[in-house]
Amino acid sequence: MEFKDKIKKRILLFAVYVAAGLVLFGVSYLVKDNTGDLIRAAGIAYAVCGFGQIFRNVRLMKDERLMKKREIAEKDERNIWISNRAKSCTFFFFTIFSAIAMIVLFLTERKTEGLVIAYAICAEVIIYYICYLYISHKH
Amino acid sequence: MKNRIKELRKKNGTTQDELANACNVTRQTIISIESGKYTASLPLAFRISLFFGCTIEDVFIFEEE
Repeated sequence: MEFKDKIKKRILLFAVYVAAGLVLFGVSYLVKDNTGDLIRAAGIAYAVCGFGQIFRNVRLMKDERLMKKREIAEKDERNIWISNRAKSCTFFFFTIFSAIAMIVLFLTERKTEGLVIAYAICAEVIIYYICYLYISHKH
Repeated sequence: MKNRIKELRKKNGTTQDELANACNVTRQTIISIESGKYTASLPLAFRISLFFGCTIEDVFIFEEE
């Protein structure tokens, strides 16, 4: 796929973000309790981020030199490697901190919250193994 | 992995930016490879070698760890 087509698809995706944000913003006024404020904040966040990204990508589309630079940066193998290493570290630390949080919650008699975290860790590890098997089978 | 990129670049009068553009990578990647902080993938090693008109062995020096 051409990088320009990729950018066009991204603009469309972020337009969906803006639309979803505006819908959430509208829906928030139908909810009477505090949840309404939360939904409104989420709606504003989605719309603002969407607008920002649309503006950024439209700017890229107008400037060939900038787009080429962006394409190289996105396809650069070192950047991809760094991103994968960062994801790997995030997975490791997230699992460790979740396990610590689970132990603390169990020790402080907050078993329901502890169980939720325990299930989340289990799900995370299972998803990891499924992905590992799938990728190793594919390559 | 050690390499002779800097030496070959100086010999050819090529800048890091020119090499990066020719290989479709960022300048930072070339800097990292030159300083030995990052090991290039096989396709990139081929692209760099082809740019200098050498073989991979002429550019990259394999060392058993």
